[in-house]
Amino acid sequence: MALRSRRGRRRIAGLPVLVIVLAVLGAVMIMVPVFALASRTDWLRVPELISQEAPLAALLLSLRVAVATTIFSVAFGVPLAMLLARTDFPGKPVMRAVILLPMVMPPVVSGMALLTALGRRGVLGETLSGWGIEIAFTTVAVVVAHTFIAMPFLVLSVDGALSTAGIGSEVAAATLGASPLRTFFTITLPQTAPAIGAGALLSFARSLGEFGATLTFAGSLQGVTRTLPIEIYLTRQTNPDAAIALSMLLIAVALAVIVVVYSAGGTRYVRAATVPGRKGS
Amino acid sequence: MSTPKPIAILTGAKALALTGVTLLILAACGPRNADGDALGQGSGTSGDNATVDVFVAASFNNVVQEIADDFTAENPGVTIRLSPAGSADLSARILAGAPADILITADEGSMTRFLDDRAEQDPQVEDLIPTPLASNTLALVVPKDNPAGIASIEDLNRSGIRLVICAPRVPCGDAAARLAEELNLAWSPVSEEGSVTDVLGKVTSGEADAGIVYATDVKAALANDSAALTEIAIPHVPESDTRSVVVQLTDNTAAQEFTDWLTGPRGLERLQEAGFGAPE
Repeated sequence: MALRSRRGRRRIAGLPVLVIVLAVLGAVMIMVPVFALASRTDWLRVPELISQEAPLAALLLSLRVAVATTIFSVAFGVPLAMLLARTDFPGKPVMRAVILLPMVMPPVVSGMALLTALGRRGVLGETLSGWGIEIAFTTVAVVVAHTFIAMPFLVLSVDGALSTAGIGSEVAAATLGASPLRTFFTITLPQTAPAIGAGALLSFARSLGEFGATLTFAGSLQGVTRTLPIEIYLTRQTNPDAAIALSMLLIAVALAVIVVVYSAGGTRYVRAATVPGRKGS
Repeated sequence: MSTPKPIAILTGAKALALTGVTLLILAACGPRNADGDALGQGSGTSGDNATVDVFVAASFNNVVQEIADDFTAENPGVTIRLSPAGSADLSARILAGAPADILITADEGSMTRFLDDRAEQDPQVEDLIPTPLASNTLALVVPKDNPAGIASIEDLNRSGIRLVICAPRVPCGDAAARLAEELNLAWSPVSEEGSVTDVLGKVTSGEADAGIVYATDVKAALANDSAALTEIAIPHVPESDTRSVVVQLTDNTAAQEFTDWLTGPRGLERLQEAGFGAPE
């Protein structure tokens, strides 16, 4: 609990010096590279760069894809997390492990996995191709790749919150005669809202930064598949200074997302979702 | 039980002091050669027990390794270490102080940018003169069963062909653009990749109907798996050739000897075996 000194300033209380030293080191480790990049930025060129066609197309594509990825991750990830947390079936631990796998897989491996499934000669892709559906080299492929990588973050967050919350309230509601659908909307969903918020933020962030799987699975074409990270990588080949300016653009967007989510009550959500045992308000 | 004593209560000033100390510790561990000294350091000085660090464009890694093996067989005291990466990455690493004796870039543009940036970083440094190493021509490849039935480069003008090339900003894409210009092709690729490896991957996996890569990539891919892809013959357009260059960064004797070997007849023989053309 924070103490207040006589001057009314908030003080850090009860933390061992060692914890503070390590905390400062941890903060320095993350902040130094970000500030170093900022210090190398030719800020005067940022507006000029952003107004150019290729970076602008990449930024807009990245934002569109991140929004779509978040929507799909929530739409499929929340039910999936509920299935994992609230039901029991043989092979569930294995299924959970496989579903969380994309979080630890190198993105290029994810890209190859997607190719072997949905590529033109993939297990499913060949059938889809026969029906005239070909997603390779389209924005759809980018969203598919990003959802594959981002959804596990949402599943992890919601699954954890549900498991921690327990089924007490749900059982009580059912005992009082609430239908499964009513229990879901009046108990389960409000209880998990903070975790869903946190998971959605993580999915959005993951999509914004995705690079390897997109490149391997979807390709790289301006306005179609070339997201901002790919544009930055490409720019760096010939113009490292411009690449740094574009990086600041990406960082600005990411910061804006974090700030907006936090000021919209996300702080509570994110914290509640990550503090075990605390239920959403 | 007695109440536990407060372990520590830090005021803002104390926390600030701690941060300062931490930063000092970190700064002391940081890199020391910020002024580009690394460029002037040789890893070895004589032919005996010398190490030569070669920063090599990824497309040259295998062939330069072969040449290095030939060289070390005759010069057993010398160790040659290769660091393969894209030309832009290599350049950035050297400018950040990574120790390199020799730099090989895939194209002249990358070398020019490197030398310009190096001179900008330290106007006092001596000018370096790069030497032509080899040239590389473009090749048209299709998946092994050629699903789009491509027979000549003009077929790439057809609509519905999924053509993958390199982005114009990377050497292989710049070369592809020159090829299209010289042959009056109006293709519309479905993807413009950042590296030739990515183009090759899209073709061997069958995602793309056709791709434009380097002749050496085709040779390496077919040597690895003769059924990996099919090459479609295209006219040779000298304007679309990519010229690779090498530059010696230190006055290390062993590095000098290896550079001479690399650009000499024995190096050229290996380069030509790998599908590279003579330097122009």
